[in-house]
Amino acid sequence: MTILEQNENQIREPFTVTASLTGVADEELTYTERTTPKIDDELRYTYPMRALMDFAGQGFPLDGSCEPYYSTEEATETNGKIGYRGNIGESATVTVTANRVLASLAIAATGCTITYAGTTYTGTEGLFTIPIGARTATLVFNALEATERVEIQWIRAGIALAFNNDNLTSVHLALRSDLTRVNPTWQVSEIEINAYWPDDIQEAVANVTDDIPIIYSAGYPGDMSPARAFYLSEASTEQNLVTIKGVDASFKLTDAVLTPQYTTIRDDRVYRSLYGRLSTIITDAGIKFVSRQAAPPAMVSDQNYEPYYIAAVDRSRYVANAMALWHIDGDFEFYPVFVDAGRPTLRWRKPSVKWTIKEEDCTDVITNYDRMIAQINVPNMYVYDSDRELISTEEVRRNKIYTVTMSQPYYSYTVTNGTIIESCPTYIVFRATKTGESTIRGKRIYFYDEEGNERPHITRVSAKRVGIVETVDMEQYSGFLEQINDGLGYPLIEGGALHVLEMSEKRGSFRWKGNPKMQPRDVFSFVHLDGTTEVCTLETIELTHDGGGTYADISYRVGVV
Amino acid sequence: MARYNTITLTIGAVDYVLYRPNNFNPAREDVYAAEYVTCTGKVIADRIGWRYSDMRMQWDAIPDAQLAALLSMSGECELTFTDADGTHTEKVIRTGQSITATRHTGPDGTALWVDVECEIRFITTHS
Repeated sequence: MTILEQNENQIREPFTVTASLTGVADEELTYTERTTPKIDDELRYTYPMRALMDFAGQGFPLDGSCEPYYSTEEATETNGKIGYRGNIGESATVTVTANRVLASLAIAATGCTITYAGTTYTGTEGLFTIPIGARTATLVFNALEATERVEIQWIRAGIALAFNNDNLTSVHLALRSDLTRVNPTWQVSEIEINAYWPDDIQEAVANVTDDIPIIYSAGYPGDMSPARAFYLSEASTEQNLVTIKGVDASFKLTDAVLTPQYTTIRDDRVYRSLYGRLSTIITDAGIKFVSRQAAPPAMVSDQNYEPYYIAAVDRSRYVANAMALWHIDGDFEFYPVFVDAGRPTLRWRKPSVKWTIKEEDCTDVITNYDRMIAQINVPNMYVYDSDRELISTEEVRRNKIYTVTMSQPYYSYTVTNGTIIESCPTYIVFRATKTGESTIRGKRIYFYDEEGNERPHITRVSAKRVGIVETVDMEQYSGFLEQINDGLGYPLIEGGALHVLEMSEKRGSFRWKGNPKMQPRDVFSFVHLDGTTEVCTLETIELTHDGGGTYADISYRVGVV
Repeated sequence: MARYNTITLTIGAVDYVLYRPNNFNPAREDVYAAEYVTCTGKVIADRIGWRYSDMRMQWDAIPDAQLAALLSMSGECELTFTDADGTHTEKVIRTGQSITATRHTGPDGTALWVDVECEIRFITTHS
């Protein structure tokens, strides 16, 4: 049974939904067992439990997956730990001691319930959260079956909650992007989980720190969506109803503002460099990619360098603008896109159609049209002086290397009696050819409004369509100080702005069955009632699991964005 | 042994054996979630399971003690009944009551209530 097969049906089998939240602290705990035999008491590590040859219960398979126990062999992250295994069918008692008062213990154990201070906890999917409020706790692991062992994988200070169809009351997943053409903003994706929890964990939840991961997946056994990771932003309990809210890792993009700077990019590596910069800015924020396409290839060799400016914007603004303005449709297709949605992914290849949605399966599609953009006005960007001016004159000695730093930005340098080794708008490095005097000249870069120039703009090149035409102002943006025909310094890669102008004005939204594998910026084929199809890009998908069923509210923009 | 002529109502931990109501044939119905109507009028939904349909139990006449059991239904109770599939125990709640009963006392002084009705809802969804 797959998601795609089931989505063909008018009446679908309900999805299996799983979510978990595990927040454990590096708290030094000691363990005392009152039951023998203990096999291993390294319960403070959470790496996997090794499968041992064991005659308990159903025995063990002869496929090599289980191994004999050697008491001298050390547990490692590779071979797995042994864990604590009690006698067959018998309960186990473990006393845990910490150096400070613990709000709660998180425990992974199978084949048992746990009793602490007269209360018995049943846990979910082998995870238990037990409120302690003390330095020492004596836990009784009650065996569930007479033929099986109690197995304890780990005991840590913290909280571990597992949710599935049995205890979830609702999950709302909002996976977002912003396909606005000009001045988009970064959209953080969110998850909200409401679940029934049998035990009183109010105090434990109150002590949970932010940023601990919430893992979510949905689908059918054998065809589940990839696990999405969110970070706890809010948790509360009321009676036995737990509410947990989380955001994706991209919230870290708003943590810092980029330092404004001039730099250079070599022409034949422009796409590689831009992609690399985008990647670095995201990873510098502390986001780890689950998947990242290899960098684009170098172009035909061209050793010229272009000046490049990074504005003082926060990282999220830089990333959002880059995705809006760097898309190039031409001989070389460059579509850099960062999607988080719980699985941080960076790519640059133009996406192809990944999904098909039939309008006949959707509620009424609400469409709207943005105003047509005829012209983009570029804000405080730069223009060049057409003539070189004298920057400095230096006394030099043959073959010595000199660095000259400028207080104003320049471009297109010349150096007499010297060879330029490296240059960028704020400094130049050159080697003197012979002893004597070197003169450094360059073209000054100005803010356009310093010179009182006409506001730089980019206009639509295609035939005009009917509609309300609009001129939009673009925000201060990072980009190339490239000199184009009319002498204006455009902040865009050539073609990027034209892509914005050519984007479809048509957007829409509808309710649909939903597919937990879909995420923002996926491209889908929208099959209309009359049989025509449109290629669209998914902007947001809000997936709601409620009352056992699932539906999705989707918004999109026509075309590949 | 299955008893076809009675049903058992468990309130708290106490079992009350009642006469089987007239035409007592619990029917199963599918339970849907996330329903919506498409632009073409089609209903789309996830079938999350089945449960027994809401029903109105009717008796021509029941003794005083059985009526007392019906009147004491509060919150969640259990109903045990037997049909062709076997004996089933289901959680129910009383959703409405239209007891239009008339007391009838027999020549020997035994009280009977006639024309008794009680509405229940089965609350367990089976997958």
